Amino acid sequence: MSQRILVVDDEESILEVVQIVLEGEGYVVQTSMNSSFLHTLMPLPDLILLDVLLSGEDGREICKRIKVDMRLQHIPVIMLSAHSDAGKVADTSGADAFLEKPFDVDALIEIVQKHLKAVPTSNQE
Amino acid sequence: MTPIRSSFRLEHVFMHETHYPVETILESISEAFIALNSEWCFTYVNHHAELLLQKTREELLGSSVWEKFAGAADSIFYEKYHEAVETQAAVRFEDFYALRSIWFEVRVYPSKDGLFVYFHDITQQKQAEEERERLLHQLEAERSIAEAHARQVEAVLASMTEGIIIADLHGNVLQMNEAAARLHGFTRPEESQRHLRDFPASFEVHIKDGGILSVDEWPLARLLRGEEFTDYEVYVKRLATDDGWFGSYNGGFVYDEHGVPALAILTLRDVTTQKAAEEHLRASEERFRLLCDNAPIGIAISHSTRYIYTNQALVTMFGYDNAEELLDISLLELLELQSRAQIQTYIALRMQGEIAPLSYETTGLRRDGSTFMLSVHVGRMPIGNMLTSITFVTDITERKEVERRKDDFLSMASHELRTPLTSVKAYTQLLQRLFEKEGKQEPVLYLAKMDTQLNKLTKLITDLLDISRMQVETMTFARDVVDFDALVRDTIANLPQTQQRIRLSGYTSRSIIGDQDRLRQVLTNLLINALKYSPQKDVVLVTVSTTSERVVVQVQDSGIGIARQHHKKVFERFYRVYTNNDTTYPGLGVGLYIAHEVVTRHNGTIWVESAEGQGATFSFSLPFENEKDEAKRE
Repeated sequence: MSQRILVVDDEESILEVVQIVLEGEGYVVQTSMNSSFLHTLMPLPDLILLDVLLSGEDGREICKRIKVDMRLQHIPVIMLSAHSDAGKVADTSGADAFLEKPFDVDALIEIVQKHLKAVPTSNQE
Repeated sequence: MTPIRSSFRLEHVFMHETHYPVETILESISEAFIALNSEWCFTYVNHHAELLLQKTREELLGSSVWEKFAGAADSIFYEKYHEAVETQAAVRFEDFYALRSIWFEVRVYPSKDGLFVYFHDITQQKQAEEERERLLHQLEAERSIAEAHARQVEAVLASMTEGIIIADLHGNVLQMNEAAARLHGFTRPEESQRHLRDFPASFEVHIKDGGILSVDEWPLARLLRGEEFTDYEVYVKRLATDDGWFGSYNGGFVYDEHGVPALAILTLRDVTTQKAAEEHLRASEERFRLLCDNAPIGIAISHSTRYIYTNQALVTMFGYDNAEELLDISLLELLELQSRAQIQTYIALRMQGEIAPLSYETTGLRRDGSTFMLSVHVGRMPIGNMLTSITFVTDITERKEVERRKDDFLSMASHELRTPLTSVKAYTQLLQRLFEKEGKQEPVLYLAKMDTQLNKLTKLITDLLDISRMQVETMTFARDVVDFDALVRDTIANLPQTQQRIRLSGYTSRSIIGDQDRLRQVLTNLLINALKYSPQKDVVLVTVSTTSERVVVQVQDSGIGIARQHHKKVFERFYRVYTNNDTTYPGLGVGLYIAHEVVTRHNGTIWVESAEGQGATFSFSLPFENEKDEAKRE
């Protein structure tokens, strides 16, 4: 069964290209433009790619909520940001990794693979 | 005592008969009388003569006068007695009997067989004469002294630059010295010797600020009313010449021996020049005050840590009502608590003659406790012997707000630019993969070039955001333990490939505390510049060396170099050196600025050594972690 990746970004073009790249690698990709996924997630993803700056929401706060949610906290979260310094603040939000935009496609694939390997898939049905 | 009557003959003394016995008469007269015979022996001595000669009749009668009074042989007596005998005429002379301080008039009458001599005491008469003589001399002397004195007084009055007016108590001017006459416009003495009421024909007297004074308010009139005064300032206008002068009058009396005023004395000075100087000063002060009070920035003059002047803008800026309130408080009390220590250090340094920043930004504390950002510029200003500081204070709240908005804007712009860039880059790389799978080399090459340009674009956007943050100091710096040698090696390895080689020599083998990414950025910027500005050369040298306190990195190229006048400016934001030839080099002029800011924030220094056409060596040094600094920071 393919691993599921949830991509959260308020920019449709990003969602689209990330989806193409990751589906090209054989993952099942879900997308969301805001935090509404928190209440509707079923089945749970194996990894979340989360943008720091969402319209009207702070990705770091969403990450914190994931990391205190018993149901979600095991899921690796990789934060994406168009701010070069955001890596430093991502640390405090409990994110597992940080990727700066724009990124190399290879770098995206590499970081996703790395974090999916680290955590055994627990949501396989 | 019985006179020797038998030998005494009186026919020359009394020519006519008398009822009194001769000796009775001779004893009763107030004069001394003696009679001498032809042998110069005493034949009669009356009582007064006994007293005068201080010898008794018994001692004298029958004795020679020259024997009894040996000293008399050389005296005027000897001469005169003989003269009387020889000429047989009466002889009169005066003599001073020093022994008893008595003057005598001596009359000598020759007789048939001798002389009769009368001694008349004329001491009192003589004394009166002498006294009259003395008085005459004294008067003469006093008169000449008085005359000399009067001449001196005249000369003094004439030579005085102060005017003197002497008047009687009725208002008649008796005398004016030359200065007074000249000031009032009189050329001849008689012009000035008039009554007070006659002077308005010659001049007007105005009060200082313009209005004409009635004669009753003139200085002399005031004095005559009994008001003594000093520094009564008026303007005197000469009607004949239609000009005038500012005078300062003093008025007082000369008193007689009973303490009653005898003469009125006015002294006056021409204070026109002084007035003009005062007016000039006043106008200058007024200008200064207007300038300061209307200045849009706060201005304060302080001595030590106290204000001695504050303008209205400063008073308002800190929420006070008037300048007096600020005079009672210390300079530092106008600063937010946390900012005081730093400024105190500056002040202390400056007082020790050390160099301290004269311009800085800090946080002010208003009276109501609110705070605001201010920019301060301090200048030294010696006033007399006192070294004071003049401080210009600007409320930069608005500027800071604008800067913050600009930063927000740049931050947002950078974010917004990166989003499409992210898509473009990802699609570019997807395309590259696609063409690679299909084995189409040409599109792959083109897409690789496109990707390189996208990277450059990304770096430009990053740099712009960085400098914006450095300007407002919102950039955060990590404090990592950095393996410096590894950092240098990695940075060189990760540079974009070029034709040139980078040769590294030296090492430090010590770590420093700092922001790894930012320090990498410094070295990257220096290396990119070295490569960019030496395109024809093949080697760029990187040298790492160590002192006990610092690590020093040198990046040396042999490219076009930088003329001396640009050395300081190359580290300024957006500064670019334009060369004479037409070669242009890409860039925004921010690389060295960022390097400078990062190094400075790490308490390091950065500098350049270069000459035009002879390559450039950019160096920076960073302190190994200083424990003292660390302690200060915490």
